[in-house]
Amino acid sequence: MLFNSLVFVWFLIVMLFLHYVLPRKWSRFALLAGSYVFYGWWDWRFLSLIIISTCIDFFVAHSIEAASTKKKEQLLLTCSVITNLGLLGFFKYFNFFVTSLGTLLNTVGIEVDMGTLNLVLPVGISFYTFQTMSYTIDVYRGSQKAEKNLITFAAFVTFFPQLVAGPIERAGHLLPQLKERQHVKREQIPTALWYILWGFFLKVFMADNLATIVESMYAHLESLTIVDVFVCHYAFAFQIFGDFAGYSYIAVGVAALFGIHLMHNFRFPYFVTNPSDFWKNWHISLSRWLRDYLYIPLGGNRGGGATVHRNLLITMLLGGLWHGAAWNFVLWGGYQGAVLILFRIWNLSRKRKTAIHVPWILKVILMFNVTCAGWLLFRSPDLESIVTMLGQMMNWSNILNWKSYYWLGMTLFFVSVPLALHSLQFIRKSDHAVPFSSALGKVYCCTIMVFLLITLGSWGTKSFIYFQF
Amino acid sequence: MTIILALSILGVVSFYLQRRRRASWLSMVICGIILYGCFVVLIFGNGPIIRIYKRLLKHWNIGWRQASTLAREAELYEKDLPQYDFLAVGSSQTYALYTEFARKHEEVSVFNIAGMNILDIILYENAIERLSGGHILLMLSDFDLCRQPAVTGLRIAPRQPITTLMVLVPQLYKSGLMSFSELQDYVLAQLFPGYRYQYVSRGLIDKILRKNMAFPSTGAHDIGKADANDVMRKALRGLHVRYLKANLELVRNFLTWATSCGFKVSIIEGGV
Repeated sequence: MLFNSLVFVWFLIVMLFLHYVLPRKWSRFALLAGSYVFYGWWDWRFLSLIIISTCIDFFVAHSIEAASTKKKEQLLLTCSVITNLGLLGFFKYFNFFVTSLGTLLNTVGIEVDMGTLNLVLPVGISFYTFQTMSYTIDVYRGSQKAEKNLITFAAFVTFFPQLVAGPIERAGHLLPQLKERQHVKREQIPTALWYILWGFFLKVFMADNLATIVESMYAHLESLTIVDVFVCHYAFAFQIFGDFAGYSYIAVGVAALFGIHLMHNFRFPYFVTNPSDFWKNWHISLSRWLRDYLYIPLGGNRGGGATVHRNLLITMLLGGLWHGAAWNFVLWGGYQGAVLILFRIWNLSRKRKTAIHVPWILKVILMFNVTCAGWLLFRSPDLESIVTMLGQMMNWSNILNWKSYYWLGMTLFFVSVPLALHSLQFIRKSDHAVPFSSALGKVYCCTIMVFLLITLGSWGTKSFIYFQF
Repeated sequence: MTIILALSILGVVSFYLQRRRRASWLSMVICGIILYGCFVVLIFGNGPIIRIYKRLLKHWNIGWRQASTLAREAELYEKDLPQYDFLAVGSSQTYALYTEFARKHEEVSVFNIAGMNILDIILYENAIERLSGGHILLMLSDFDLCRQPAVTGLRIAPRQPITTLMVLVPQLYKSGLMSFSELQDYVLAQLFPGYRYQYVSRGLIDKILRKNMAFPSTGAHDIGKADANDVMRKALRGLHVRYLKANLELVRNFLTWATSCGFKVSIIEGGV
């Protein structure tokens, strides 16, 4: 079920009604049943995967808590990790690894026909797998008590606003909220509604309209000029932000209507001045997950420069692979790792020398372009497209043509209003309310947003990019 | 008058909000709904603006069907619209057969929109009522009766009275002519004029940014004979007897409406 569909509106109304009308015990059950309906709307067969994952982690966590020796705990944790990653690996990476292995063997002269399976990638599998894994790891580490109630735990795994595209919540934050029925306070309603409106505006007005431009440009790679390549990736930078941040804002807003607070996944990521800050503000829940369950266990910042750089690179490569089973995502992860390493080296050397003052805005523009270069690797459907795109950057002929003018104009049109509002939010250091203080400003801002959404929004046509991950 | 009223309401609401530094969120929501209504009236809901759009946007900006719908919408705002004793209503065949005839006989006119089909005679009842002086020449061919109505026409169709919607929507759903999502889209377009007029908003942006210079479209006259035959073959393959019953039901609806308005209807072709 898509947030940007009419059926979701009806679903939400029913869920809110049940949440506030039913007795406490039943409301939790209704939330779980509703979450299963929400997921099953896409393909009910894959509910079995969520149920398997839920049951395994529920019982493993209990067994870990009851285990008498550390060895037994480790064995149980290994079981859970292998099952979770096994399911993820099979559905998401099986064909990728088989095809890659086949290509490698063919390259070295061994002729083998590696067959692939006709697998459908279950929506949101990467998100809920990481969420349940973090719970079991936390129980193993002793930072989280095992949940006693299976219904509550299942509701934690499948809580519908964040089930298919995050934020990847931690048990310590979400479980206590699900145990008790939460009530939304009157003063929280405007914030929740603002998040939903802002999310829809980013997704339906900005991202989906930009998607048409980007898709159209990727469909005519050979005819692009250097200007088009830049426009395409600037457009994609805003498309992916609008798409993913839009989803996250809607998720936070919808959860807030149930009185549940979800973590924020984005905090002005395009206003940062360095790659380290970018990852602290972009897809925050995944960045923190990778930091806590991969980077720090690998050694984190301990050890010499080479060790830290290795840890960074491994973390980012796996982070890239998490996004999708394709080499361009691995390359993207590698690129992000390399950028982080270079920044670290530069930062350390800068501390020894006198710092040169660079205006903040120049740093932001530079960092934005570094990010956009990464988006080229991320968006391209295959390695050949990346090479073609890079080749088209040498195409200086006929750079001032009507097509380029049209694409640039469309991009500016659909980016301008959201970017202006986002800049105001950044100046006010807050995205939890309309970025105007007067009643007149607030009402006009929201009304114009709704008007633009209705008259120019690309409704019900595009899924969310992160659903495929 | 409508514009002045909308501007006055806009002014009053703005003044009220300006005076109140802190307003409750409920009162802000109510003000927002009123402001939204004013925006809709000013941007899509008055005669002068529709006439401006009609003048600015041509079929190469917004498409054939959209351009003719806009022209018919503009007519609805005309005060002194002439009425014709005989109004020929029907698809492009009607246009081809009666246009020349209507030029020579001032009591005859043609009502046609691009790609018109049986469903459109219901969707454009208001426009037909404005033009008809008493006698409707309804041209029905077996081709029209056996094809599926075009979905694109539904969303951009002029505003319908609620009574028409109550009858039409269940009828279309039951007949299987439209999917649930298409009908949902239609109802939304009827409820939110901004959504219905998306073709105007997008057309204006495309015109400003010179889309037709960036992507010159091939006109109908540029289509080769082979392609034209292919289009015709596809259209013929699309004909099916299952659409016949549903289309005849729509014709019956139209006849009931015409009788209630006091119009005579002569079916002049396609006695299936």
